[in-house]
Amino acid sequence: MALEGLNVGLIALSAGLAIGLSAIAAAIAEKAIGAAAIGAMAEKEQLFGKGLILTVIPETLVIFGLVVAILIIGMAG
Amino acid sequence: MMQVEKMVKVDILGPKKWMKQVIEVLYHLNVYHMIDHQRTAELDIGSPLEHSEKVSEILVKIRALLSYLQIPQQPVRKMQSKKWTEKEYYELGKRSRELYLKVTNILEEKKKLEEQWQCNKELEEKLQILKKLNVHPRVLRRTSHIAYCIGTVGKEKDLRTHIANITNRFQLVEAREEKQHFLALFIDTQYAEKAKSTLAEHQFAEIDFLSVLQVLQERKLLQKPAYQSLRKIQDEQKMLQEKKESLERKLVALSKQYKEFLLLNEALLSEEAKKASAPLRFGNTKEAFLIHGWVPKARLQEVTKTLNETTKNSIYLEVAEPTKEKEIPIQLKNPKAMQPFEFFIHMFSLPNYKELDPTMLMAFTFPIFFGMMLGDVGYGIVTLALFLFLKKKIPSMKALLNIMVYASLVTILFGFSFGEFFGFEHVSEETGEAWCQNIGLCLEEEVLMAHGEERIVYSFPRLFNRLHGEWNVLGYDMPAVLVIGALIGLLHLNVGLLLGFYNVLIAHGFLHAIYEKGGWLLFEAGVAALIAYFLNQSVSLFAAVAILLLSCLMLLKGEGVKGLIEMPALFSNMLSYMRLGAVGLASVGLAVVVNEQFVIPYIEKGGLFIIVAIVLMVIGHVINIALGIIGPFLHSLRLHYVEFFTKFYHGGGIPYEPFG
Repeated sequence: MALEGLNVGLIALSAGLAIGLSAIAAAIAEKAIGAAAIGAMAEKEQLFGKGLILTVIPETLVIFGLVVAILIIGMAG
Repeated sequence: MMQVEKMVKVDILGPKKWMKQVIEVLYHLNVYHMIDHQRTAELDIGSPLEHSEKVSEILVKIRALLSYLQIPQQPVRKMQSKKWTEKEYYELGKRSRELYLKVTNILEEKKKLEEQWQCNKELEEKLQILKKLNVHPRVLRRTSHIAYCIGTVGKEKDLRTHIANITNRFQLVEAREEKQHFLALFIDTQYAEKAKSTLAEHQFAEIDFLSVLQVLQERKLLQKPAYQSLRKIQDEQKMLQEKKESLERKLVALSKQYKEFLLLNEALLSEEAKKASAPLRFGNTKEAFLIHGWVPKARLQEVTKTLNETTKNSIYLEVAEPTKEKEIPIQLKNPKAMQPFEFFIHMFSLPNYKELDPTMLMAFTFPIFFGMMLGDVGYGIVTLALFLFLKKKIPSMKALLNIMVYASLVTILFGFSFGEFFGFEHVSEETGEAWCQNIGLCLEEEVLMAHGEERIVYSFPRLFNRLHGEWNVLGYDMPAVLVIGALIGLLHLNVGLLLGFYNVLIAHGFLHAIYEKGGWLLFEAGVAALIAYFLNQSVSLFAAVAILLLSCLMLLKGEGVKGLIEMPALFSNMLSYMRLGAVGLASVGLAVVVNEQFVIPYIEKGGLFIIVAIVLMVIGHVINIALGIIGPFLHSLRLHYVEFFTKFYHGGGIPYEPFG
């Protein structure tokens, strides 16, 4: 199936949305966790490792977004 | 391999007359991890050695001097610890007291000057206002007939008319400077209240002159016009400033003169103070003392021998194998080349005594992950040079910088296998031919399709095309690096699970290990079987589902409900390793943008544009390298901490801190 014009544009747009929205979601989640982690670190410095782990957990969302975006672009052929 | 240093518990019991020598020996050996004695009814804690007070008194003075003279604490050349005599303490005490007195006197004088300067400054500001308004200071004296307000207004429009509406017995002077509008209003006292409310409507902010009046009176300047007093004050300010600067010069000179002396004695006395206060951590009776602590097994003999020799066998040492794991201090044990990577373990949490120490694995995987993400010969060389340079400049961060040096080397290796040099994968036809003829560097000829045109380029040799390589996975074309990333993830996670199996085996026994970690491995097998069924039915659905159910039961038994909830996380963990490719693609992408959108078009224009191209190239690649250090570093670290460590690592060990 040959896709052209608007269709290709729509595919590109949805790939962009997939990664952009998931990045925003991860950012919102990390904002709260990061602030709390820094707060905890101010009290006890050894919590850096645990704080980092908790902060980056939502990052996986972006990776999912990326995979989906790549799959969508794959559809364009 | 991967074990932490074996420790033995050594308790030292001895008569008090040997206490000082025992402390000296332990301090000198620098291997004894001391544990504070908990006070009990029978065994109180000890009191500091008799010279402790003297030492801390001098130490406090010296540290105060270091801070007053703004000498930063820095390590002094390691010297033999010194045997102090009474006389030396006396001399040092006297000398530091004298210096302390000298410095505090200067500081006090300086403070006085500063206070006076501040006071003058306030006076100066207010006199400036009076000068501007052309008001003589003597009119500031309160009289019963005339009231005055001096200050700034925000809205000066129609002010005069509004006040004239109240009375005509007033005088208003105004002066404008920059954005501020100053005014002084003199008015019959009976209308003062009304005038004030009018002024308030014009956003009047009064400036208080009462304090100034007092100061002027004290200094007999009240009868002089403002500009005269102002000149006098300004002259005074200049003199004060000069005096202050001369005091500061004195301080700097003192700081230079006594820097070595203070730093050296601070170090020596800190050592002495540490030794003198050690008995506070001992158990203590009238005649004897008891110390609890740990010694690495490998150095036990050295410790017992030295202690026995020094005290002529008059103390008792009780050596015991560890029982309670939680109390054992942890000393990591790794080959020297891998020791820098212990930094990451310290940053996370030390392993507990029976756990495996993952430093060695991280020493392999961290640089590989980093290198795979950055993967560019040019960037690798730049970061290598940068970190070698920083290593010379900042010795305190040696461990981290050593790690980065390894990572940069691996980056260069990956750069060669991806055939990338500052984002360039190939050179143009002309350059390629020129290189081949002139310097004998013949690259491989390749045909590229760009914008529907065929173009011949000469590519750098490579094992693998990271930017354009694609693999077909289950019918989808995926960038090959992402797939490779996920596969590396699968491998890495399974190594983690196997390590976890070993850890649980040691800590809780075989059955537990089978349930807890074997469950995960079986779960993976079940999923693989299920995929095989859907692909070509080579495995029966019944078998796949049976394996999955069995693994669920094992996990439920091994890890409880938490295990079941975390099952999908295994896949998100694996997908998370796709960042190994993704971060790299982003980095190459940026480099390509810099090269092809900014640099090459300008170079093609020729002339002065080449300079623009070079500037753009430097800026673009510097930014990309900065991102390329931070990104891969954090992502590689995260893959270890979040995905890998959670499979086997608990941590929580107490760091081994030898007394000395």
